[in-house]
Amino acid sequence: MKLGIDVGGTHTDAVILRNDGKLLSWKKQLTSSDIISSIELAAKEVLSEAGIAPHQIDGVFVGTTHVQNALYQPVNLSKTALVRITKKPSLVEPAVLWPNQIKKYIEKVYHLKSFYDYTGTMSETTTPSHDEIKQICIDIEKNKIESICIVGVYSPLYEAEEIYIWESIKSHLPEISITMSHEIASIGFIERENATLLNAIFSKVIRQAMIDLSVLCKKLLLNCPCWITQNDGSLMEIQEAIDYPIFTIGSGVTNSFRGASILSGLKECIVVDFGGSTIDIGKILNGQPEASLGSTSIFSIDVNMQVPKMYSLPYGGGSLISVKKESVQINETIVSDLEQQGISWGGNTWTLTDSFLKVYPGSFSDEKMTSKGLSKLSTEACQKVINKVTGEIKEKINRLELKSEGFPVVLVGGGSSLLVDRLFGKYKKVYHPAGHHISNAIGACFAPLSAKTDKVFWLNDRTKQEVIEDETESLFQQLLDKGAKSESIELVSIEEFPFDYLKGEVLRIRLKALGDLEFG
Amino acid sequence: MSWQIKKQDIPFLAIGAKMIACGGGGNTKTIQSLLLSIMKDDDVITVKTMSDIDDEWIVGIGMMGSTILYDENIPSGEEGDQALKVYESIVQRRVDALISVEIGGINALAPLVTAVQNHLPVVDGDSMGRAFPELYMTTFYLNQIPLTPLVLQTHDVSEVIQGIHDIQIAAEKTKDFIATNGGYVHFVGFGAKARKMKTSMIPGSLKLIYRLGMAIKKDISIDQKMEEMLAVFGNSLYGKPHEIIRGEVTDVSKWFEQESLIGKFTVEGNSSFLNKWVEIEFKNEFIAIKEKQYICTIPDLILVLDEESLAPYSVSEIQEGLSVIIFAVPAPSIIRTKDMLAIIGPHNFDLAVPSKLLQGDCHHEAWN
Repeated sequence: MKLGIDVGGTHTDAVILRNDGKLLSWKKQLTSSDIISSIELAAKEVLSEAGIAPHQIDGVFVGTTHVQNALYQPVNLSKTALVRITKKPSLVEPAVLWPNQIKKYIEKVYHLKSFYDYTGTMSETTTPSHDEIKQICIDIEKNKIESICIVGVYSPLYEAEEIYIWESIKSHLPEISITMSHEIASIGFIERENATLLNAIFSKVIRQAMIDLSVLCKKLLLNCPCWITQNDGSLMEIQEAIDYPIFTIGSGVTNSFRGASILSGLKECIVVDFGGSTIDIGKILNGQPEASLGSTSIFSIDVNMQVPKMYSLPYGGGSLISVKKESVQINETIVSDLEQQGISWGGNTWTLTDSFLKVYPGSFSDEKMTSKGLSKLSTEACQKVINKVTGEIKEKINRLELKSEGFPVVLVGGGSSLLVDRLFGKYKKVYHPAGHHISNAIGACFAPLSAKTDKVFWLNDRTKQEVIEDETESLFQQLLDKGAKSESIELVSIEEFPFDYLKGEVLRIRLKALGDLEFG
Repeated sequence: MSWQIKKQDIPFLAIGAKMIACGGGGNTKTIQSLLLSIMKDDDVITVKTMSDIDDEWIVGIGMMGSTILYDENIPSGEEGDQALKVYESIVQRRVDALISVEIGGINALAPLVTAVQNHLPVVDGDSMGRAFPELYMTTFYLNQIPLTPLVLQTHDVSEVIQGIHDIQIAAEKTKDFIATNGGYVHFVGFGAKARKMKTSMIPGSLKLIYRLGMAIKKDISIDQKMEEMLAVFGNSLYGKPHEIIRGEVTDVSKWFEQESLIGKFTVEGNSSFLNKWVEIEFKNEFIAIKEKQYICTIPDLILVLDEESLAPYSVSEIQEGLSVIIFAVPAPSIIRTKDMLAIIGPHNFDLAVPSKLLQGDCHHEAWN
């Protein structure tokens, strides 16, 4: 049996699934400010409703949008020091194009000299002196720095310098959280530094919740492994989530896409997740959520790490509608509780959901709803809202789908009922599976284990094929160690990035392997 | 008339330089960050146009080698300045102005860094009109401006190449130095008097990338952006851009050969281009468009732009599923001369194309 939990900005959902995928029970709770009490409540309820004893649960699977939300409402961020290891201190300042409300957390920048050449030979045999590092540590303490970020030139090729500095700082400041860039992203100094800085600045955001989570599992007698889902939709352990919060930034959305694939039984589809504050549109290929390639951006900060490939519309079911100078606007402001404030529930706030219900009253109903207030709304204005929403969704679907594919569309999320029969005529298959409102929690339960590498290799004594074989073998071993079924393990992608204008054979290789969890 | 570059203009120049690079020239993000870091809000770089220069000593300045390593082993930001000082001590004269050798990519912005640091003016022009992979693929070379003395500068080493008149040999020496010294270098070379420089360069190319960047970064509709972009090219030495296709990238194949990223991809047309498809070939830059037969080849410019924002794509960013608009832009006639075509024509990029196609003036009829 699996316990799936999705911690969203407004709601926390929990589900119990049999290992064959059958849904036994589900519960929804408002997300509490400490996260953990809503998880506890939802987990207890869902266990008791299914009549399942804690020891029957084989695994707990948690997805969360918490770190992503913290980008938009910066709370609990850490004062961070950046340690750059470069050939020479560069005039290129860190975080040049960052929004100020996050940039201000970069408190100090220190420079250490790198002794590596790009061929991996040390140009000098010395390393940064202990005194130098000790001075930095004293300064860090004096400035009450909470988190440290180490970014070394060439670290995707040779991580030794970053590890050496990490060890030295740890010996002085054993408690402080330190992020090393080679563990976060690949070649491209500035974008890797951006991603690593973000991880360091966000190091506190889910730390407490994750620590509480392992305590909670013990308290609820859930003695099974507990997993967190990450950006690419695969699983990581609680400690990994504590160390690499930035890897959970796309966790919620990826789970929802995977859940849509599971619920609809489709291995190839476009998914539209109609939520309260955003509408996210992504693609499932071979049963896996598609990931972005190359650089991408988080909150308009360029980073070179993998996140789900998707389009996010900046509004959802709870968005406020207003009419200004005869033109209808969908605002980015969201009602705090649609079922209190929405006109369809007797409130007086005109939302995106109300616009759909005015024109298509039968889209969905619950006992608390009333159509009284809707008569005041202009049908024409509501139709304009609907046209804008469906038009933009269709446009994003078109951009995601290759012409030859002709994929069906799966609608999930709390607002998805509004879209049924509204999006396309007969020419496209649209699914709206049962369980669409809990696809995040369900998707989390089916997340695979993953192992990946993204490194730069110097092909001196080995061929490219040999490098790939060696790395693949080590990835497969990692998956077995994490508990994957050996027959399920496969290499799912091999990407090569050659270096131009350079004599000699140097190659960046990115490999990823997946495997399913072995149960009982 | 001279004009000025301020700090807020840098992002426009960066995006314009990427567009005119036709997929090559390196990512302009690192050097953009460098410029934004060193420029104060009230800093001003003076740009001298062809009519403003007369007796000055002008040198080319830029970087060479692996742009990927440039983005990883980031420059200190002082290399250009150091190379300039070494250069001045060798030629025993002060440099009065700097010029870009290559207006496509990183090298469009490289002179600005050293210009800010030394309060020097830059010249509105370059010697490629786009991006090319070799130092000899320049109007400077064709007009007998000597490459040497050439100063190469890494983070901590400088090397001077002089007394070599054969540009191929000098370039080979440069590449050997690069391979053993970090994979990329900053350089100062192609020094000449303004009188010589202004008849050897492609004038106005810095202003062109600035205006291109302005056009596509403006908060206006895609159709308006397109109109502005066409107007910018219309008012330049480049020919009128022709929209080749709008559609989706499919079938990408890339491989690596002789220090170059080589490959091709297909674009399948949509909307008004339904049932049409073209193949784009690349070798570091986009070098040819094929529709049954070749319809556009290097040195004419091939722009692969995002359908939604008109933001340019580089060769390494091309992947299946992108929605793109492709334009072909006739190169300035300065680089379409017979002499120039001998060094930058299709055969220099291993393209087996009958040379008569090169002479095609991109007449609109030819595209349909």
